[in-house]
Amino acid sequence: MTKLRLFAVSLTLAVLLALPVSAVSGGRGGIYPSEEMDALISSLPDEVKDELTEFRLAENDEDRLGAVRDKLDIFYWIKYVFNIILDCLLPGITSCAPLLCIIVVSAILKKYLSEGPCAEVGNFTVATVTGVTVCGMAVTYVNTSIGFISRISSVMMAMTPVMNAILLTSGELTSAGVNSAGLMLYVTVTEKVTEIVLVPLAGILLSLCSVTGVFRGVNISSLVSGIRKVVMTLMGFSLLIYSFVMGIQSSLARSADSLSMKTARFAIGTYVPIVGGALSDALSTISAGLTVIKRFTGSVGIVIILLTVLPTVVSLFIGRLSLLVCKSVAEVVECDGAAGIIGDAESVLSLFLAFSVLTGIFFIFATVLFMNTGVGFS
Amino acid sequence: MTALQICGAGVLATAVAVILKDAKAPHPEALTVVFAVLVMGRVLMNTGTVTSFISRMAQGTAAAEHICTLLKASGIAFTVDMASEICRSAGEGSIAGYVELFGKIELIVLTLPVVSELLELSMGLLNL
Repeated sequence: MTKLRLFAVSLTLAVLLALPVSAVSGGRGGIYPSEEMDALISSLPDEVKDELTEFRLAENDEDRLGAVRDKLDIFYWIKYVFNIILDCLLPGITSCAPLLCIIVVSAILKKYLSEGPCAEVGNFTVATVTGVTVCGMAVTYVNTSIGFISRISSVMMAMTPVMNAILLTSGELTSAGVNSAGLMLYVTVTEKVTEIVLVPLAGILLSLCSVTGVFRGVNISSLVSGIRKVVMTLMGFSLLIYSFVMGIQSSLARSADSLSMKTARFAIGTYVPIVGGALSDALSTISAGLTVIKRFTGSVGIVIILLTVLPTVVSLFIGRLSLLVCKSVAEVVECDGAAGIIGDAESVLSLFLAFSVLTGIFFIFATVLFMNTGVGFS
Repeated sequence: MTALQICGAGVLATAVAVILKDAKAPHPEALTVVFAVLVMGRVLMNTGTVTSFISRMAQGTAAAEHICTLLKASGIAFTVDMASEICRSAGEGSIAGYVELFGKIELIVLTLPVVSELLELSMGLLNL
């Protein structure tokens, strides 16, 4: 009997030792929802996708291991992010060059165009030319912002089925329902606000700022400021609901003291650092979220977040900065009409910058939630 | 012709005009008109250098077309200003008024394509 048991154990051991141990053939490869994951990856920006190709290793794919090792070096990513900022800087500067050129030429020719018998018509010509140039410049940035918001929304939309699949596989039915509902809520609110309110509003405001600047109408800066408050209140409210409903504050609170209160205060009071004054609160909220991401994915995760959010935000920021510089130049050379038009366009652009930053912040929160889903599974 | 020469010619013309007025010559304002035309021609020649410099600088930039419009507009404004001043110097205020009116209309005609572009841009923005 003992010999029989010994023989059975030996046979089992022999079979177990003979089995090939492979991470690809077993484990998570077959459990993770590959189709949804592919959809999520395809919804990422091209530059992020390009950087991720080496990380999707196939079996015996040793050639790409070197590239992966390079990309795991933090200096590679620091250099990459620095290059992105530089890439955004140059178009921003070149886009404001025509406007600066027109302001300078208008200032030189002011003696003939703004004085004498043709002053009225001359001023009209200068304002029209400035209005066309400013509008052309602002439209480019507005389109960039709209593209960014829709891309981030689609990434967050693509996160939902992956998250659901993981939670359902691990048997967390309630979490799956709550998480997908929360994420869908914010994404829907973002998409609807962008589609129904923000985009038409941007068109109307930019049209107004160009036309009223030319035809000496009302100053729309205060109007834009009011609209910005309304839009940001709406978006901040949905962010607040999301933060509390999803319990994201609890996961963030582990990383920063009383962070849930900070998140709430940030969402209620200021919404976006550029608009409001509580920059330190916003930064601590983001940094806590980034700490969570770093804990799960390492520095590469943060860099991927930066790759997704940074180009658009930097581009919009530089665009706004360019308009501010042009406005200052116009004021210095006493081209008040041009300064007014540029100021109005800058206030419209600030609305889009604020909204893009808010979307970026929410993307970080959504990624933290996505990471926590992975924890629940493992 | 340098600025010094123009100044010298101006002082000389003024002296001659005063002598002609004292001598009760039939048309003393003719001298003023001739001098003004002379100066205007010279100024236009100098302006050509400035405008060609600005055009060259703006060439290839996105604002080249608009800068060209601004240059044309300032040229029209300057010419109309000078012409109306000459007319007024000759005592023809009504002709000066007509010249100014023509200049304003010319400026509006010049600005119309830009206005059209602005309105098209505005319409495009409304359909964003």
